[in-house]
Amino acid sequence: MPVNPNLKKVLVIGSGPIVIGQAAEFDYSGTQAVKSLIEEGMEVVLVNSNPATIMTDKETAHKVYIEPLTKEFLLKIIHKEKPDGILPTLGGQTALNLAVKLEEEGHLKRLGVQLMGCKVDTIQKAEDRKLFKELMQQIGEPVPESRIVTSVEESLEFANKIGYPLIIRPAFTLGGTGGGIAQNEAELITISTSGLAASPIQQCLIERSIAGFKEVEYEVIRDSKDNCIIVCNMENIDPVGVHTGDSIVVAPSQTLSDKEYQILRSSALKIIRSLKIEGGCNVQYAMDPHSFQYYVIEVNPRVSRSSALASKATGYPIAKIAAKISLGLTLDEIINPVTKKTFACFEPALDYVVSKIPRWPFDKFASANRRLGTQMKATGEVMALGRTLEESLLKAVRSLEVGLYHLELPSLKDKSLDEIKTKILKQDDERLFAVAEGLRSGISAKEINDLTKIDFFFLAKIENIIRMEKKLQEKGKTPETIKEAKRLGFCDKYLARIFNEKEKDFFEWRKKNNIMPVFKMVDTCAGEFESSTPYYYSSYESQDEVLESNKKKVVVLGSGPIRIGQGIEFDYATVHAIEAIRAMGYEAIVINNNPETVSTDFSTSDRLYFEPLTVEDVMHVLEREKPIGVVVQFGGQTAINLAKPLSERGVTILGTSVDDIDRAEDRKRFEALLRSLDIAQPLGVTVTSMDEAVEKSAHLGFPVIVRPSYVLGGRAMEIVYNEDELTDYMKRAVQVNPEHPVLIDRYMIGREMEVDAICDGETVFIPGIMEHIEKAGVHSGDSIAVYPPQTVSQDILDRLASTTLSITRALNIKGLINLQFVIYQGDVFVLEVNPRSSRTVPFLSKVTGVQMAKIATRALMGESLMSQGYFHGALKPKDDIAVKAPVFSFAKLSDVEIALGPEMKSTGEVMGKDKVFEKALHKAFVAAGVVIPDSGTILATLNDMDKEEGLRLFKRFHNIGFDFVATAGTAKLLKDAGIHVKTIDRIGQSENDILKEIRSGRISLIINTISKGKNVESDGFKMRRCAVERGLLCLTSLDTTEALLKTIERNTYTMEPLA
Amino acid sequence: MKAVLVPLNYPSHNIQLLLSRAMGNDQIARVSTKNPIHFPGEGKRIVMMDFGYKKNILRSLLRRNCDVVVVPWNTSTEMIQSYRPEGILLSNGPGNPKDVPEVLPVIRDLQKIYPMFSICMGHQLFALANGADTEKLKFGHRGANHPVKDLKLNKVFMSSQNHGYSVIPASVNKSNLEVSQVNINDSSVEGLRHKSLPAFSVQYHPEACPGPEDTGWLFDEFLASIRN
Repeated sequence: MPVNPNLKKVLVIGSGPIVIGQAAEFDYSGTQAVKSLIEEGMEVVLVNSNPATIMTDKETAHKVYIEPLTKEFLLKIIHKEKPDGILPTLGGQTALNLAVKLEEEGHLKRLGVQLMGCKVDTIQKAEDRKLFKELMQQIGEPVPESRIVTSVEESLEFANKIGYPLIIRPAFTLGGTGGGIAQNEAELITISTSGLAASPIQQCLIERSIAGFKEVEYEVIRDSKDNCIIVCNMENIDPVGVHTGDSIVVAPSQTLSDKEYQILRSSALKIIRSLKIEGGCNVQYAMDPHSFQYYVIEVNPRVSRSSALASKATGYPIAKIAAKISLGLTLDEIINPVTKKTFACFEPALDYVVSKIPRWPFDKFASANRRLGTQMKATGEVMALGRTLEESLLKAVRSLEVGLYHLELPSLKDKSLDEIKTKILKQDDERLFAVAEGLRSGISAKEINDLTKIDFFFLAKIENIIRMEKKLQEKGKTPETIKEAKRLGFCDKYLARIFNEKEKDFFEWRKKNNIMPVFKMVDTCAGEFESSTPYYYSSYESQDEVLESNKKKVVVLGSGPIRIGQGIEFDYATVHAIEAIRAMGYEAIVINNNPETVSTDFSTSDRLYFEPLTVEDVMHVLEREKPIGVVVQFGGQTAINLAKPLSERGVTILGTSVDDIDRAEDRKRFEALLRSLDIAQPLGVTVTSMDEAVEKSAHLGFPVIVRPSYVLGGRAMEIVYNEDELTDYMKRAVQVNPEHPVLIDRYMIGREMEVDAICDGETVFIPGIMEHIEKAGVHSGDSIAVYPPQTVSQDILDRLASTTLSITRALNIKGLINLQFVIYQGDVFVLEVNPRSSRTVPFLSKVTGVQMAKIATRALMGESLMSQGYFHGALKPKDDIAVKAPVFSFAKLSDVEIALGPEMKSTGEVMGKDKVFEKALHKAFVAAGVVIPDSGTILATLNDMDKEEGLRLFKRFHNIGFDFVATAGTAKLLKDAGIHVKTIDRIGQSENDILKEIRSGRISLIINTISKGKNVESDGFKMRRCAVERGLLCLTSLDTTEALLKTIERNTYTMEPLA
Repeated sequence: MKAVLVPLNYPSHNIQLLLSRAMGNDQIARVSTKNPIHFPGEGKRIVMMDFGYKKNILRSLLRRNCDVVVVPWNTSTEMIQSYRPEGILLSNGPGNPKDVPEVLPVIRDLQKIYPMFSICMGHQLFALANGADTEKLKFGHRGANHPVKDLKLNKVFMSSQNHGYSVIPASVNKSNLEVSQVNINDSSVEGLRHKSLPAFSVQYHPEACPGPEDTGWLFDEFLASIRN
């Protein structure tokens, strides 16, 4: 069918900031969709609040709006742009929910805008638990016994009828927020309370737990002619009970017989047909391992995280095809973009095994509850391909970058069998390793299957790895044993270790013995048809499928899995680097392992190698492709860390030299550099004992920031204000000895500034300077950043620029550099220098219009900045003001401290832009999901240091119509200032304590600055967690508070009686 | 492409010997049942001519309550008539359809008397019997993901395929048949329908097992054609 003639202009909605449960996959799907719509002649308008995305590049669509994803802002855009259609199925749950709202309230009909991709009643049938269950019963598809509840009482009633365990799933939430499995009444009460609170419609589904069944997913596509295909099916190694986003997943399914596969396939087709979805859809199943009984768990009537994974796993670009279907095209007329010879109407065949392992943030959140359940906790994921499951699994393990490179967890060594069993039963993020250790220590597969319900097939595969370990011990290093180990995915680092060799020597030995991998193509059809898509993975086999080319090649290293501190911003820069390299006439090769990203879309680069980012795996690609060099500065710390080992193996690093990178990153060398340039930085020392810490801190002057090199538990970094706090923290959380030195820096409380610059080795160009709202001490990634600076004098800006110029030149930067400063008592101090692309590059690129990563790429390839039209110095700021605000995922991570501090905690970011600072700030808050109160009650508890400044803010809040409840100390402060306040008790002091007040629903904002002696048990922590669980805004920095206050003041009225 | 399956360390000259041997042309005779077998059911009686039938074709019929008689590939029209069938199914089977020319007149006779449904080898024989021609494909179609478009329904189905020979599209024009289904990828003939008789055929395996169950409805269509 031809493209629907009524569609000429389409509005695509993005998914907003990265949060747990909704990550970079929607930049990938959105970008693909927009390109696909443009291919069909559409005029595309795009809206997304997340500046760190490729989709929000102004080149991606005809018009790009970086605005908050709310109904109000969307309506403004629709009125202004008058699109014919709106496509919400590629922007995750966020876009889908918005579309439902617009349609239900009649806006789309009123404005004559067609909803594309699926109908609202389809969305409702798939997402509303009750309607979904009814539909499934109508078409005869089995669902577990369940009941929709809107109160805790109702859930208890159901439990009395069918017993435990029960699963609680809140309706309309991302990644199952607030849900869980209850084993008994007490747990049911807790979980259903939080579940009801998390659901925007106060509705939960309580159902019989089918934990332990096999969990299988099908990715389905349907067109308007009712043609349906399965793109891919995937099986979770973790049986039902662990959220699929937190499960280790393999594709295609490994333990289903054809009969089981076809039963589920037919069911999936029946479901998508009954929902009449036109586009992509995902169906999750539970399959009884002992019968053919299955249950439908869930349907997502849109492109999802799983479809991004399925696209990368098969090569079949689901979002691209789904976008074309939304225009009316059908599968039998869309060409398969991989083979370019066959059509999109087929089912991909895989001649390899794919493994996905989630990347969890527990390295950053040591206090978090690591148990995995129905609430997704991972921030990102890695994918690996191999010809054996063992190979693909081990490749995925070493892609994770969690310090592991084999199925081996050092902390489990020397543990007793009981301890290992306990660990296995914990069902946490390390279960895979515990299972391996269990099998290694002699626990039988039968027993592990009893404990975990993990299928025997997967256990047998892990046993194969362990058997190989033993064989290597017995037979030693021979070409035969190593070949076999390599086929099972063992890495050089492990093999070199057990044979007491240097990894590099082992690699050389292997090369000499011709034990090197070949590269296989991901072609969607397992070699059945000719294919020319250069999407490769390595394997130890005989036939290499790489297409030869004699063009000059450049390799760009990606940034691996999304984690806290290294997000989508680095994929953004990677993609830009690739585009610049291609534009310069080179062949751009990318190596990366993150299936969610745009960089791993095979159409982004000339060649895509889906491989772990380790020296060994990267070297294999380099040996095969022989590029002129490797670009490491866009892939975050992941890629930068590879610069040195790669250059030691003779690889040319393009851009800033390895030695100069080291001069910026090595503390001692950097100090020396600054001293030689006469540039100030906060004083710092390295200590190796407690006494030394106390003595040297006194010398530096409190407060100080303490950074241990080895963390026992709790936070890695902490600001302490006096000797007592120092000794307390050091004793509690830090191991200090000559092997584990601790860094102590003077903490300067001042305004933090951030600069990104580009240099070609000669000219230094500064596109922009940003000011942080929060003072130094709050991690720059968690601070609100403002461009251009609003409160800093031109003199300071000039000094920041000149300092940037001299450091950049002194480091001989070729490419990008990021610098962070603190302004302390009128002076500029350098906090940190990163000789690479930074988190702020996409934001700054978008607000200044300077495509920093592309310019930097050209610069490092030898094209001078002058010849590109740039100059030495800082660019004059734009008139518009832009604010970048962090977005957190605290609701998904129980037991995590939400107070801001020197450790980064946010998972994503949004941008607000306007002509006036307060409006830009307002947009940023709204985009970040903050419900800004206009008036109401503030719950305030401040520590003594903040009281003076706090009071000033409280007075202003009071003036515009806020009242207060506060604990004794803060209450007194307010009373003394003549402001009405209700005093409440600390936790546990009485019935009417803070927690009760928070739960009462009377509070519209909490302002709480943390007091010392913090630990998980403290009142403040409990209060903050309680606020998060109730969805209440809780501010822990007075700087943020003032920013919020400013936006409220701007948009509200003063409430003052006549004088 | 010829290949042999031999034990490890098998003498290479023996391998050469095996490879140099001409391909057999009696595969159907070797795999077909030697005697008729009756699978009782309470519904329509179907005679299945066995060219090497897949069990799931039989099961697909039995699931629909058919009373099935499986007969050897070279059974005569008279003999088949003596079972008093209500419909005829020509099964799948190995090799080149041109190896069994003696079957063609039987097919021509039967299709005039009974509704007929043919699968894979049966489809090719049905084509040859009605004046179309077959050829060997370069690679053949193998796998469970072949998209087949039904020209009447204008819809695509996934099919399970495993065949090396195929009906030549142009040859259908001069026959009594019309193409009912085509392969999306290479436009090859996937289904045929007799212009005047209740007889049709598919190149792939609607009985699935292994493979998708998308075209199981063809069995229902066959049984419906008997009722009409």
